[in-house]
Amino acid sequence: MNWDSLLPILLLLSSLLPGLIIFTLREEFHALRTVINLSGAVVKLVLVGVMLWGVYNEHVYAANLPFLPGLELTFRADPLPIIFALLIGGFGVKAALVPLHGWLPQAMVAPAPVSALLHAVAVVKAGAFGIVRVVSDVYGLEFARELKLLTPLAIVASVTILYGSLRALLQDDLKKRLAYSTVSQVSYIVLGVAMGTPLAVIGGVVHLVHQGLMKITLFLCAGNLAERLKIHRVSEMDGVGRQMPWTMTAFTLGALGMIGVPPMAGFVTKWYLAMGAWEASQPWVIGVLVASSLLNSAYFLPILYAAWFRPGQRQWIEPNESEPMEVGLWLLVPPVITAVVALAVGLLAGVDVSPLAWAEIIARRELNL
Amino acid sequence: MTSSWLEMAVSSGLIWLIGAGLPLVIACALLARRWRPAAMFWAPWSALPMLMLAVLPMGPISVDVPWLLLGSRLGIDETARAFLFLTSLLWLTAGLSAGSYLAHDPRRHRFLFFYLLTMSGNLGLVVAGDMVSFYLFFALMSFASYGLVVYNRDEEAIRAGRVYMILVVVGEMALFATFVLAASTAGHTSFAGLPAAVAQSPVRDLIMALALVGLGIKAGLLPLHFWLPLAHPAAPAPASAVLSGAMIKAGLIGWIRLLPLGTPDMESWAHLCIAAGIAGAFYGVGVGLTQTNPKTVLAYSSISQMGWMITAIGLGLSDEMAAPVAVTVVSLFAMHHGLAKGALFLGVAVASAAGGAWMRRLTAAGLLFGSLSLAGAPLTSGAIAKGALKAAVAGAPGFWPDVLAPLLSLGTIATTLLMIRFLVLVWPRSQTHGDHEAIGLLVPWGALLAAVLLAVPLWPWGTTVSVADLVVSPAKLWSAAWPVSAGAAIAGLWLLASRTRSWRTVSVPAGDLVVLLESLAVALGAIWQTVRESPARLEALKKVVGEIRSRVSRMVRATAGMEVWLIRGTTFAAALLSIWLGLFVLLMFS
Repeated sequence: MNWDSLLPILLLLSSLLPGLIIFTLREEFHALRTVINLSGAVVKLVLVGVMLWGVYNEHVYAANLPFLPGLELTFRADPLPIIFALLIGGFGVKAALVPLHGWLPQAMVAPAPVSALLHAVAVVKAGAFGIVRVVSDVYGLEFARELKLLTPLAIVASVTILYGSLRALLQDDLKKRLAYSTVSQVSYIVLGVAMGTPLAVIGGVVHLVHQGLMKITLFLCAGNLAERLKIHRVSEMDGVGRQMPWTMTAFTLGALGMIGVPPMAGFVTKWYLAMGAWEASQPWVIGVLVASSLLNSAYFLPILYAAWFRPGQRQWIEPNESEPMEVGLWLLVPPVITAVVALAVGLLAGVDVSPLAWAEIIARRELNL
Repeated sequence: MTSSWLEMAVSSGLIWLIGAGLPLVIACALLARRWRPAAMFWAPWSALPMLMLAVLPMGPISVDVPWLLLGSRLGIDETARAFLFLTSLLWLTAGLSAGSYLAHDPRRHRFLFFYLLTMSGNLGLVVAGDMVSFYLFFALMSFASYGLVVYNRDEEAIRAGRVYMILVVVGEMALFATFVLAASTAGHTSFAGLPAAVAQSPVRDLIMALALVGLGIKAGLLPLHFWLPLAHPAAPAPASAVLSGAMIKAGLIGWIRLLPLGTPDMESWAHLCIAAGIAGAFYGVGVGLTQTNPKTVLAYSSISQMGWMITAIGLGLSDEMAAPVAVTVVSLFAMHHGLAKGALFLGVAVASAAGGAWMRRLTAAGLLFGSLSLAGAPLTSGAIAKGALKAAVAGAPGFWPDVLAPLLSLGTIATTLLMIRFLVLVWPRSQTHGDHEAIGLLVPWGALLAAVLLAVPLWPWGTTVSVADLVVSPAKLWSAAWPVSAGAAIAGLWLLASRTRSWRTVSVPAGDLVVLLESLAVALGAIWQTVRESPARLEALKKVVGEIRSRVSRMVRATAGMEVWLIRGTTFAAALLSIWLGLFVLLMFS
């Protein structure tokens, strides 16, 4: 008997068994669940380490299971795909790929500037950037495509895009809706890289900048609403446009950009991704983009409608001597600036110094596309 | 000096950007309280630069504007010139009449804001020379006009706005997919050479279908027409005029730019377009006759008239030779219908404001003239448009030439009936208040009526269509005159008959299909609710899971003190296992 061949099966079991046990235990056995979880992780790490060691010594791990009559299920530990999956899994937590996205909507309880950074720039972008690096530098687009790693990644990204949008649709908490929108939008970057054609990669890389500009605008505006009017829920936003016109104008620009309405930045991304999908002969991605845009409109347009076209139901806070503007200048100026920049990078995408032009240079020089 | 400045403005594309961007600038000025009075005064005039560009003698021009969006192309050709004239003239006159129509409305700056945004989009998409800038202006127009539809804020307007917005989003998405596929197969985004590339595309049929949906929603293509009879009447009259006169033509421009008119092997699409067009032409009249709101009648008339223009597009798809003629016919028909329909919608506003006897007579005369033009009475622009379409019918595929000619006459009879219905509904009755409101509306309305009379006959339509031939020959006069007379006779008989005995009348709710769709949505919602509230299966599953959980938990509780030991043991075992495995590996591979 080849004991090596049991390792992949053990690896699978080490994930399944603790999971099952944890699922069956009630929540009051919190400590026990944690321990089982940890021990499962320990076993898994060890097994993976062992396998990697074996692979290093040119062992082949393969096990055939009689899955169905006439259909054998082959477990095969090819090192490169496994390393790829582990790397992507690691960065995928940060980039909030489904099913590793759970932390992001929880993290929106932070104050608005913090969650703006969290969602727009610092954390999720680190994950997305890591994935771009892994795919394009560590493996290289051509090699990753030869190993057939890109299509599964594109599928994961597409699922994330649609799932995030669907969940956003069901949220009433404004910041939570924005958080699920982030889950969805960050995966555009992954999707672009996963398709691996020049136009798609440009679309993905440029979305690093575009998504940041738009999402930071939205979160800062949500913060202003909470600060001035104590509004946290979408259902409370009736008529806020008249009370906070600057904030809501910035919010509107950001939301339209997320939907992909030209000339906002989001349109440029979607256009390049869709063109890249055709170039990569994966036209189903165009369908994903269209479906995502439809969902984006479904969860952003009602907010805009409520804010601008519904009569307000709340007690208005009139501007007074101490607060002549809708909010303090230091709260108002940043989202307005980011919204204007998000508009400008879309409208002037053809200029030499636009993010689109940078992304083209990156794709040409760094990634040799 | 001036000419060099002008040349530079033209060659850099700035002139088009100023034309389309001026309304945006004034819209921004409206938002500042200090500049609001001035901005409100200048708002309608911001269409004037484009009107001047449309009538200036300038050859076909197309200029690259590389810094805008993904590299844009702006310019004007013969088609764009005709549409630009129609669009800018309508926006100008309707804007001027909006000043009087909403003179006492404290919220009118909000109306003008959305009016200007929509105007900018509508003017821009005419001069757009590539897909991306067309899409930009199309989106601006579509989203901004929502503000015009819901301006009245009553229940009806909100409902119309909701239906409109859903269709706008669906249309935008279809158009996005269309343009992406077209640009991918063509390798560029410019409209130049695009139809040929689309014809060669491996996904040609998909592009065609998406384009028909994406642009057909704006053009009132059956069965995507149902937002139109809700939205057009819901808006204030000047907005209805531009919605139904100018904006509805945006789909036609898109089709002329995109569809492979005049390429072989498109017969099935030609059949489809012609059939859909004719269906719309008669369906619009049929449902329109049952309406009681004059503006709804006009909206249905728009669906009907757009049907004939869609038929003309179908003719262009059928035959290589027919394409240039079809494009001219579409432009001519669009200019005729846009001006006449705009004049009629403004006429509704004038009629409701007219109080004095003379004013009412004047209004009635104007309405009568507009209706006769739309119906196609001899020597009007309608007769020219119908005549041009009839002349182009000969190039239709299959059995269509034999069928279309009598259908066109029948269509004229039907339009006449609908117009008489409209006149009966809108006929100005004596009112108590004076004329001073109507007088402000009268000047722009008169200008528009003059354009209805003169624009189509005097416009240089090129060599493909000869206007003079269409109007003055006795045979043409007769062929234009008899259907209108027949329609008038039928209506007269009907009125006489309804005087002697009362007939049971059918009434179709405005928006026809949308009522079905709404009840479908309600039904689906109800089903979803029932499914969610009677979760028999979910309960069963929860029970099983709960059972397992409680058993495991009971087991664990039974060994209550052992929990700590279990934890320690597991940790220890895991550590042991890892050490053991490590040793095993080292031994195995060393």
